[in-house]
Amino acid sequence: MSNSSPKSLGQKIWRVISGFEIAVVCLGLLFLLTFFGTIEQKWIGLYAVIQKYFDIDSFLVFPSRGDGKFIFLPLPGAYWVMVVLSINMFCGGLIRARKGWKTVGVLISHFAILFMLVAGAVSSVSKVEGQMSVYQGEKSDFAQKYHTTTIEVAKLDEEGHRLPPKIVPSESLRSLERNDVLRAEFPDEGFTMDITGMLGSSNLFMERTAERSNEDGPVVDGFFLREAEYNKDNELANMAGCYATVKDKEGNEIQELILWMGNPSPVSFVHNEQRYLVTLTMEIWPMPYEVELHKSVGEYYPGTRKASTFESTITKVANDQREDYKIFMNNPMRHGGFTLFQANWSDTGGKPFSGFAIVTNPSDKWPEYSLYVATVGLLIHFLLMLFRFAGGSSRSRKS
Amino acid sequence: MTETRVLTLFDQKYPGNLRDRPPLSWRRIPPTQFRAVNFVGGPDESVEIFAGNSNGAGLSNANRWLGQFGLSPVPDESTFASIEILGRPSLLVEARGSYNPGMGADPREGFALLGAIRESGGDVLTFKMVGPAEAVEGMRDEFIAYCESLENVDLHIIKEESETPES
Repeated sequence: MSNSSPKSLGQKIWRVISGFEIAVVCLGLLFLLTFFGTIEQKWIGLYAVIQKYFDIDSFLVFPSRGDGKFIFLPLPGAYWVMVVLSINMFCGGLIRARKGWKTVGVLISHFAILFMLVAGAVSSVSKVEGQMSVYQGEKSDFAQKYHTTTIEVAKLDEEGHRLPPKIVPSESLRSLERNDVLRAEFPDEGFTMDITGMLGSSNLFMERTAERSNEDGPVVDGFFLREAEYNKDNELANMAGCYATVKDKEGNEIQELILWMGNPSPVSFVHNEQRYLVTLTMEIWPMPYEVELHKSVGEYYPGTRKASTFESTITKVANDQREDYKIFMNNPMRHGGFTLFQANWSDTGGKPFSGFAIVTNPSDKWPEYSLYVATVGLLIHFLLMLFRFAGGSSRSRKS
Repeated sequence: MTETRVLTLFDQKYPGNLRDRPPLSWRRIPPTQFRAVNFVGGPDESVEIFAGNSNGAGLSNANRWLGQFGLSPVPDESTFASIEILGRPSLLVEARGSYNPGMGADPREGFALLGAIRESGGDVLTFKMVGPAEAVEGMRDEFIAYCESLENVDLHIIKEESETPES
């Protein structure tokens, strides 16, 4: 009987967790996910495929063909397959593996692969995503972060130019519900802002033209907010809304404001002979470059307003350096840790529009470093094998 | 709790690409479909000041406004005074009386209108101030100064020297 056979239940579980079998299954699943994802990205684009196959929220993936029909082969999400593979690699490739100078190269390589998997997890959890929306013939130097709601308060100078705005960050507003009150302090400006009646999805109505019910918000400046059903399929379609009461240091009301994310321009109030503009918006994310959109072309699926293909001709302008790019479905632009994909396109008769998804990732370079380490590990291992082989050959010749 | 953000082109976009300098006594309220710029001002914020784009000629818009006060249409533009908006002569329309805002709302007695209409090829830019006659009269200079202070700001538009890349 072999000494390595597990005896207790704990040993058996440990044997499974750290065994080759799990590694083989995980690698097989990753092959299938990559295979189907590569095929599907032809149809829905790289960015959408990454969301579908590799996102942390993607527990089960149903690969589909270009015509929208599903291939009946449900697969676990790649993120969670890699979590299992990481645990398996840690247990089997580092803890359980034999340790000694003969295996030092293999251990280094295992560590590097594990580091690469961790890089993927860090990327998935800590990356920041947003959208830059640009019309043909226009340029932009900012994106708006997905799933964020902020209130911006900008003071104007004497010429009417906005000064750098003060932000009530999205972290403060995220958990705010309809009956909650959040007090935002603006000590330098000498006022506070009580934010109330926050709705994650809402419509703005004019009292003059719409009948208001008891469930609707109060009327401010002739407008009121009505809660709308939250659109889970298209979260960008949800327009947050809230009310804000601006008060001076003594707590006296300066102004009541109604704020709605769908408004293209801000509302204002005056305090101490200064005008302030107030905007409820998705968090503005300044970019380290400008994108000039020269040409935006695409096609819709027949009979729909869903883009089937799209392509943008842009110039990236950073520090007076101009570089031209073509961005299309699987060809993003990378610069300074930011990756810019084209995520959507539309042409409703006016200027064509390109929506660029922008992603930044703190672990962007980690896979590259892990490849260097894995290379060093394998080099050590192969050199050790070579020396051992050469040493063995010379011994057998002597004998 | 608050943070400060650096300025971007987001801060330099204006409705209709028009940067304005309203008096401090005017307050911006949410825009609507027909009011790209929307203010309230005057005593108890009883005066509405708004701007938007409209179709048709300047004269037909002016006559429509006169009709809201029950006044007869005029045959030509020479009836109206002129001010300069964005480098073009524009009509200055005035009316007093019973104001019928439409959309089922009741007429309002003792109201006045001061409006400006600027034709610009395809469409018409309109600026309108409506409210109690005394208040509108008191805000006349502010309104004209506002219209004359408008300037085109289109920093988000690619300038001509930035040519489309070849390939």
